[in-house]
Amino acid sequence: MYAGTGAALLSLDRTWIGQWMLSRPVILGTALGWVLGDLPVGWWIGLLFEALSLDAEPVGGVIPLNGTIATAATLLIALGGTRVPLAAAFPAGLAFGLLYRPVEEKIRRRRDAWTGQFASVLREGGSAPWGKAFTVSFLEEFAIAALVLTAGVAASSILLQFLWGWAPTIIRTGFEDALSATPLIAAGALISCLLRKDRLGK
Amino acid sequence: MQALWSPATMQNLGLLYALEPALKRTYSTVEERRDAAMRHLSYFNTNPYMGGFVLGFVARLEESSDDSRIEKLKKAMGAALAAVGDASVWGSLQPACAGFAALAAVIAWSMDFAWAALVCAVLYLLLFNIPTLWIRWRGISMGYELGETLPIALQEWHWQNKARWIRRAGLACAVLAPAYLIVRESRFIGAYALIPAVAILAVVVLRRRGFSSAALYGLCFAAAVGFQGVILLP
Repeated sequence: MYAGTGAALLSLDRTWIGQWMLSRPVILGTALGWVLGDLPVGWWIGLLFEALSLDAEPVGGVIPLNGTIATAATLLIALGGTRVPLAAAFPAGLAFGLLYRPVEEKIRRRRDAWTGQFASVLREGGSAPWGKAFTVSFLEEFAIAALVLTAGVAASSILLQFLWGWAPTIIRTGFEDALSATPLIAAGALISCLLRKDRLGK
Repeated sequence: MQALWSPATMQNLGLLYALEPALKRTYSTVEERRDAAMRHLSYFNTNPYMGGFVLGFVARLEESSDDSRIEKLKKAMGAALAAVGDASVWGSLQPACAGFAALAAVIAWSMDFAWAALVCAVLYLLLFNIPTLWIRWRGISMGYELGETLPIALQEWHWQNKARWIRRAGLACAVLAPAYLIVRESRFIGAYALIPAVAILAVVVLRRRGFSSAALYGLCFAAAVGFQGVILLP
């Protein structure tokens, strides 16, 4: 739970704290892996999601795969209390990262109202409510990320442990093979990302 | 700059918050500061790492320009710097840092260096943050000192060239990292070493055709299940 809450706090570096890339999957994965007792796995998963999350750039209103949430969810499921096999934890983490995008969009949309509030207060001669705006927005984003990475991950871990035990061998082997192939997908995704801009830049 | 980011007005509140000390210094009356603040409640967007330039630029404009020009110039500068920043930071520096760090960690790991993970993380943070922190900090003073001549000064930095070289260096590392692993660590020998290389090439081609990484993972899973199904068929 502490690891999940810590990961949620670190995830705020993406837009809040300093944007020092502390929330990037490779950094968060390394940190979480160390905290959860398996540094190499944490780093490896972080590196994989680092490359996979470069599919789209966070430009304008685009919300790419949330590599931070995906990495944290994968490691918390695999290395946390229930110890679900990595082959099952990885697609679950990937799903968390994809499903967090509409959540993130909703969080951002809630902030549309702040500009109107600021305008009303200023027109009435008051001071801009910075303290309230920052506190409410920060706590909202942190609380939702923490809820996802604690309760959401805990529920998923229990479900995955049951499903993995019940799943036929063909499905389990499929996930294990897909995980083995993921480094190749990650390498290809990273190369593709660097090639894409090179082509456009000429 | 991105705190309070919203889809409707993007970074307007972040910029206003950062500008407040400059507005307090420029305008002596509450009414003038209020009018200036209202001016900056409209839509604004730029690359967050280039925001320092815009901040300094707008602070200078508030001191010297009439109100009607500030809004237009701010938006134009924000858009121009967004293009530069997005190509340089998101498109070049960030993926290149991932490539450098992956290569460094792969080499460290193959030398049985237990702290390979730490090497990767520290290298990534240093490679990214040293140039970007410098840009963010220097940008404020440059934007303020140069004012409307800022675009001319920035052209002399040849961003596109620098970004291209960073991408190429990152690409070299991104290719070398799996190549090193395949040659040194893979169970594949001889011509079979081509199999992972061809797989990576296939991923690059499919990514260029619009397949997301998640979709490719799904395809791998489906292929693995399908392949087993074929093998297990009586």
